[in-house]
Amino acid sequence: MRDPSCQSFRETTIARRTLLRAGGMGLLGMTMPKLLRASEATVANLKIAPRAKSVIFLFQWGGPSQIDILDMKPDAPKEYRSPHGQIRTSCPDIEICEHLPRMARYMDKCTVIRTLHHTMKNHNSAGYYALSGHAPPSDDQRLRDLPDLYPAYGSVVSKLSANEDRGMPTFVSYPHVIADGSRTPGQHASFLGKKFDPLFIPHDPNEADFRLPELSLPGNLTLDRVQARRGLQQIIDAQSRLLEFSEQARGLDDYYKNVMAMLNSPRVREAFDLSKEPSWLRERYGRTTYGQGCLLARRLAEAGVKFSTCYFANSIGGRSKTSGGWDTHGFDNTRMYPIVEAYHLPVTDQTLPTLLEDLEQRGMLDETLVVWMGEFGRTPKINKNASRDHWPNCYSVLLAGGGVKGGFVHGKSDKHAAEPAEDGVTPEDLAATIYYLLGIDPKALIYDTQDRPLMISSGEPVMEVVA
Amino acid sequence: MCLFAPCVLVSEETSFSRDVMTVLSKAGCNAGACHGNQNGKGGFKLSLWGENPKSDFKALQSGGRVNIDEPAASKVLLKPTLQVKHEGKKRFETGSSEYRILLDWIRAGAAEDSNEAPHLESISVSPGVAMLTTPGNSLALKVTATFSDGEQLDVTRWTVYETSNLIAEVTAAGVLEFAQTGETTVFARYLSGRASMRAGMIHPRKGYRWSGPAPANTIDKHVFSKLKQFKENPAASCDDATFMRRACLDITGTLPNPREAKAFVDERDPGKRARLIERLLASPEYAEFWALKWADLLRVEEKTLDAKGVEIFYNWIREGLATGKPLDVFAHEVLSATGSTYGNPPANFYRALRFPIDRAEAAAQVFLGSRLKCARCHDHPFEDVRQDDYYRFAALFDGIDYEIVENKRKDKFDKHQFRGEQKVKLVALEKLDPKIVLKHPRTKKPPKPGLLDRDAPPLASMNRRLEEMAQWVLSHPNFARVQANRIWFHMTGRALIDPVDDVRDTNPASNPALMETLEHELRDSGYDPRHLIRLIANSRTYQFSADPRGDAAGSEENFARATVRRYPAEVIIDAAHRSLAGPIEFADTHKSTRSVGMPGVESVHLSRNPGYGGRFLKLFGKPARLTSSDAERNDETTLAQVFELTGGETLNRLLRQDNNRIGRQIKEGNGDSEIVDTLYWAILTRAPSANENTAMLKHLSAAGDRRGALEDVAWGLLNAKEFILRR
Repeated sequence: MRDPSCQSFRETTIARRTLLRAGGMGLLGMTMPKLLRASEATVANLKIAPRAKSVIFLFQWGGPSQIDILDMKPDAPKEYRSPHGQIRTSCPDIEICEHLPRMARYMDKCTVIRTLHHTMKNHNSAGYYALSGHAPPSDDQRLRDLPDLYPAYGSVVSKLSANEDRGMPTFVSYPHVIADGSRTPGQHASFLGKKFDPLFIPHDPNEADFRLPELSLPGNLTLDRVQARRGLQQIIDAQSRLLEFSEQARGLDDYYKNVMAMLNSPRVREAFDLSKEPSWLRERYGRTTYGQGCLLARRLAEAGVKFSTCYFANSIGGRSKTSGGWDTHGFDNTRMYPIVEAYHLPVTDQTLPTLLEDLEQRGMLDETLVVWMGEFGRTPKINKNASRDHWPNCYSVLLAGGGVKGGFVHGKSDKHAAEPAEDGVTPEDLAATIYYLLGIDPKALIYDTQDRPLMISSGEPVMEVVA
Repeated sequence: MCLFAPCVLVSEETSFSRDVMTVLSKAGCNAGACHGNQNGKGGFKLSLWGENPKSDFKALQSGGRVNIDEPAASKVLLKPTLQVKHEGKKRFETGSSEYRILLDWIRAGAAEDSNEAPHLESISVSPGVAMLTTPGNSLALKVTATFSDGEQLDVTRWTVYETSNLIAEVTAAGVLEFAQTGETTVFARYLSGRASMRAGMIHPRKGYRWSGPAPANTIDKHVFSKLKQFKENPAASCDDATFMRRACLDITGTLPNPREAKAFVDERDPGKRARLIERLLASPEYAEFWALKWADLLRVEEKTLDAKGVEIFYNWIREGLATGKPLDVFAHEVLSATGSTYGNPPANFYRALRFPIDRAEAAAQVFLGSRLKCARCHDHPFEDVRQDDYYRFAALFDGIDYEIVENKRKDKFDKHQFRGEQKVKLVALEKLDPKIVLKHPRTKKPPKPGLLDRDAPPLASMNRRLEEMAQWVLSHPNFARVQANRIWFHMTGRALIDPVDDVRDTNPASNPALMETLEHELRDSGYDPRHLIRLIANSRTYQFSADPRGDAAGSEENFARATVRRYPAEVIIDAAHRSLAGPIEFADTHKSTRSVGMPGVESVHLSRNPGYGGRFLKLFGKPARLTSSDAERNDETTLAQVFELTGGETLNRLLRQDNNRIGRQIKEGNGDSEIVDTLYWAILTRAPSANENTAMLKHLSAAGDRRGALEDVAWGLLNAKEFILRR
């Protein structure tokens, strides 16, 4: 006879007790048995049918301006409105920046949320918020990457809904570790543990030698040699009998098996081998780091990676016409518009529609959620350097595929794109939406370093954007 | 309706504070996943597990939850019986006792009686301890509640039960049922009362006879007593080679070299193990290794303390351990230190912890094993610490200010970065800026500072509040308990109380008698850690093999055999380099060649160029020292680690280093057999078996490249399970 607690509570109870976790604890702070290493059971709280098999998270570090790109206000006074014109798109409800003509043809595949809002004005605090869906403890410009901050989206997915196919990693990120003075939190697994860190590739996908470091053996080792070494190891292991009586040892040996399999199998290596893509397609994405990064994302989604994060640039940028992020303040005698016109907008217009087109042509768009967002928007009023500063109060996020509506606008900003007028959405809600689309209960629990139960998101999924 | 049939209450009226609150808990309404959530659910918020009956009463007043005119139409009845949609599904049936209590209460006017009704003093669960033998797998528990009017009631049916693992469950009626053999803790919760009991189930194992040795000391006495209770037998004693390796790595984090290892094995003296233990305890590496562990807990990292402070603090810790400073003296110095962080090393404790709540939590966690964090937002769910207690204690740590003599930090926007001397000063709380003073989140006012213990007398002197707090900490039974638990954990790989720094009544030790003994030993020795380490290392328990010899030996959990566990990052990388006599230089300011003695974490966690050594350490879980918890260090194995070991830079460089042990052996003109033997002793602290020897020699003779083939053998040894895992 069971305790008549509610279904979802009980499922939580069971699910977390079957979670594979050394030293983890149950809801009431009890030790979880290390001996109960069942399969890494996917936590089933609410049963949600997944709409998306994968997420491609394109993080626009630095903060793109909403009023210049996706939420233009041509009728606003000159001090506010974008100097750029706007153009009609394949979606009658939205017009976008004239410098995104290709993108205009794909707006019928996208949902734009125009009312994302929060109060973090600094890159690191806002960046952490955007990458994890949780508010930082303070608007700290140099927010410390402490283990009690929440994990990256992909790490949560890795923990709760890992690829069933163990051959491919669940969470991949590349090619930069972003920072603003100090490393931006929200890029790794934090308290979930190293097991759920992304497979991170610190190399430029546009370079000829781009490859997965783990799968590249040093020059002096061939695969045959590694196999031979493994053979010797196995002889030595047989002597100690550890594999016979120790579960720890067996678990460790499983990893060796995985490594050997991955080194041997071309599958993982090939998923990261962009030379296998036709050059015309590589040209179409643009032979830039970010462009090839978008191509890689498609390739990885195709290979079964559930969550890929591609960072637009390593720096907040905004001062260069050739590199860096979206942070165009007009510092150092630079000016925003020449920069975004020369660089950010053309890159966006080349990469994003190509990615959507590519996914669609492969029949993948319905099951691949593309998220295009930064950590905040930019000030509705143009500053004295003819540029814009940070603005978290109301900004835009573009979603496509993976179960979201096509050609849809959610939320209305006020006349200056300064504050939400209708249907504001918080990053917590966006987080809940992403998890929901992946079929993960947005209220599922994870446990911090002190084994406190924490919900993966504290917002509500924006059902209006779900198809 | 009387809740507690067949006993008789003074009044037949249904009580809000007793009966209704009970139902809200038993039916799961106020659980953290449901209405007890920080944000409530569906607009209805209850206090977590009923910690605040008054606010729960208020919450019930609105939203049609309580309908005085039409009681049966109250939402609080319709929802949980699923007469209307309820995300929480059905909690109880119409007509059940739960239903009738709520209905009767509403019918009688839905009054609030928290002030009048007798309140709960305590609960107890019986039996407190039980051992079942299969096929008997169930046991009826009884929970008794004692109220302030002296009344004692059987509340078994109304208690909420949880077990610490899945091997057993407790039914709603309070029957403990085991699904498999083993041990579990049952946690019982009724109103504000908490109690726990431990139970185990074993097979009858007729004909069981103790086949283990006689106890060598008091540790063995308690371990063996439990083994006998569980009808388990211990593994054999580990052989000398295994003991040498284990003791060296557990006590000093440093691998023995082949010569000393062989010498130890060959020695005839029956007391050689005890003498080895003494030698290891007297070595400088002992102090370095255990200082590393303390540095983890005391946040000895460069961003806040700067490189000089890190070195000063680490060296002070190391000195203390080397000279045998008692742990209570050490703790007192740390908890009450103020002044210049360059001049008074332990003042770095407060330099690292810059906010009252961080200081309070760290003090409690490191020195009492008490995890207070939960009480930041609500009454602690399973410790008797209320939110008010938490803030009173945290207020004690307010008014610790810093005179920043110099701050030559590199990033002027980074207010977490400090480079230069600071002086930690105690300031009067009245002088604190009202904007930054710690405030209770509910009252919004600064709490009156005091000790954590609700019943403790108020602070005698605000000027000496840190000393008073330190005194209180040291005289608390949990001080000795958590230190002893830690030492036991570091030596055996398996804590008695798990997690290591989560000591509370509701998380009992797996062997309470042993825990108590260890505490006493530590206390009576004058808090000398060496004494406890010595006692542990000399026990037969510590010296059991990890190998259960088929089914002959019992479980790791009961210490019938040694725990197999991955070594810490520093131990692994140092051991690898020492075993092959290959140099490594870490990227810290000292260019350390060993990571066990490295004072800080900069080269691993703060540098843009950690080097392959720093990357290895990070990958294998060296903590960044950003929390005050034993849990920050990670000893999991991961796929990425195995990739590193297989083809990563660290081992590859080491193996190929010209003048490493392999290189030197070849230069000396030694034959294959001899080199293989040396490599085995150097890396695994044992001789190769005949089988292994054959295989290795075969590999060597078949190879064209002899050096390469020897590197292969060495790789095999460095990647052997017994290298990375403690056994």
